[in-house]
Amino acid sequence: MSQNEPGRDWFAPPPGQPDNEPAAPPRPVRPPQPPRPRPRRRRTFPDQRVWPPPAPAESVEGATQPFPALPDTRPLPPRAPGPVGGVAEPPPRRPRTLLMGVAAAVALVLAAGAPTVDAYLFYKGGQPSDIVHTVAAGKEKTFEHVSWQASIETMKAPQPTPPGRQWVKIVVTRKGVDATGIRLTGRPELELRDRAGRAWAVEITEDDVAIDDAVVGKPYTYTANAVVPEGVAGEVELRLRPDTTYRSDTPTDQLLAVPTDPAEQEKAKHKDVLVFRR
Amino acid sequence: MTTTELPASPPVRRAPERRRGRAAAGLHVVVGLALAAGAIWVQSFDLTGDEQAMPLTYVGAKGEDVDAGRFSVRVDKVSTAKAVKALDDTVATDQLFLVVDAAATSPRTPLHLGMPTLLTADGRRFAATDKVNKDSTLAYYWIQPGWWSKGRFVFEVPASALPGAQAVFGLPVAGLYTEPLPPEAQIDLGIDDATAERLSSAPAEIFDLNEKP
Repeated sequence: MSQNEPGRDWFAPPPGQPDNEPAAPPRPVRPPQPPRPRPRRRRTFPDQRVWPPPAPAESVEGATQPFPALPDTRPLPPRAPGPVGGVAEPPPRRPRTLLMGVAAAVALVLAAGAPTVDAYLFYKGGQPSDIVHTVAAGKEKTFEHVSWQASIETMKAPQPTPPGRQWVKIVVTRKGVDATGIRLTGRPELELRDRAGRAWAVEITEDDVAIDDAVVGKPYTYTANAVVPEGVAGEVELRLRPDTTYRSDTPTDQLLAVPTDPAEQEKAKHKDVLVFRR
Repeated sequence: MTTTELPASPPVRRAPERRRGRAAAGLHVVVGLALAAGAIWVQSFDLTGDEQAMPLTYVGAKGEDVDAGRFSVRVDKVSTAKAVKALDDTVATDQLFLVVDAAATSPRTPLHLGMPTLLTADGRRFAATDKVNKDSTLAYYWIQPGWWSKGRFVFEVPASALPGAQAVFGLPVAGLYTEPLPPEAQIDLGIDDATAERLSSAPAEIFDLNEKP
């Protein structure tokens, strides 16, 4: 039996099936509904003119555009002499002087500021800001496996010095607090600073820091000298920048190795400064 | 429905307006192009890498405090000698030793001065002599806030370099990183022809650098 029986419609049911569809099953009976509330009276809207568009509800005096002469009892405003049935003036453009001025100022600030910020960020990349750790007067501070303490006192000038300058003796004590601490024997950078931010050089003259047979917890000292103006000799504070990366047990062939670990690279910038209050 | 009069739609005058709009747009394009070209032209004033590395020069004369920002220098005295004594060594020259007595201070941070150069009136430059160790010059001492550190620099120059010579003081060159626009102080030593004649004709036999300036 061919499927494409001539004379039969494509969509006709197959021959074995009666042509007439069986009666649809009875619809499910809706459960009884609560009675609908009586519809309220519909609101009726009055007719509204939509075309041609109604004249704007504006007073005639404030209008900027001519509009059709509406029946109005008031007298029309006086008209400037001109062509009768005149030209529709385009609405005057509002002056944008202020907007333009502000835009120009913003553009100028951006044009000058963007390269400046870029250059500053580059500069800061090479010279990061110090991270200051304050140490109370006479106290000890443990930082990165080493405990630091410092004392400052004036001293007699060891060589003829012009008047107005005061020699200062600085003693810095370091204690390695663990096995790593006694290996971090890099010399700290020292500097004296007054409250105005002026700085003076400090030269370490001697130290007794043990390199190979250092003992955990034993104090070792650096002795240093500086010359400051007499007026600030009592207020200058010691700023100590510890070397937190050099280890005395580094094998010789790795002394110049560049750190690959990002944390080590960050440490190598030596940003931390201990400030000893007086 | 009531009819209202339609607004009498204004006929026309559109063409001239459009023409005016087109002209304005053209003008705006020209102005925009001019501004863009100007912005690019302004870029040509930007400093090149070499220009960035050149120093920013502060000029002064002998006896003046010349403030170069990070340090100040003053030239106190100029003299000549046939030989100079530093520590125990005495070195001689067949030219002239020009000894510059200078003083320097710094407003904020301790620093060292670099070795200066001598700039002659005809544009030649002489480095400070290497016959004198740096330890015997002002470059050895800390330049610090609060006082003027005094010292000397020595140049070995022919007598012809003296008239109109200027000394140029700067910071020492530090490592790999060249700082952009480092400060320098260019100080006229105040040597006119008569002084040059006197300095070159009558140099001291020995200048002792060990003496305190």
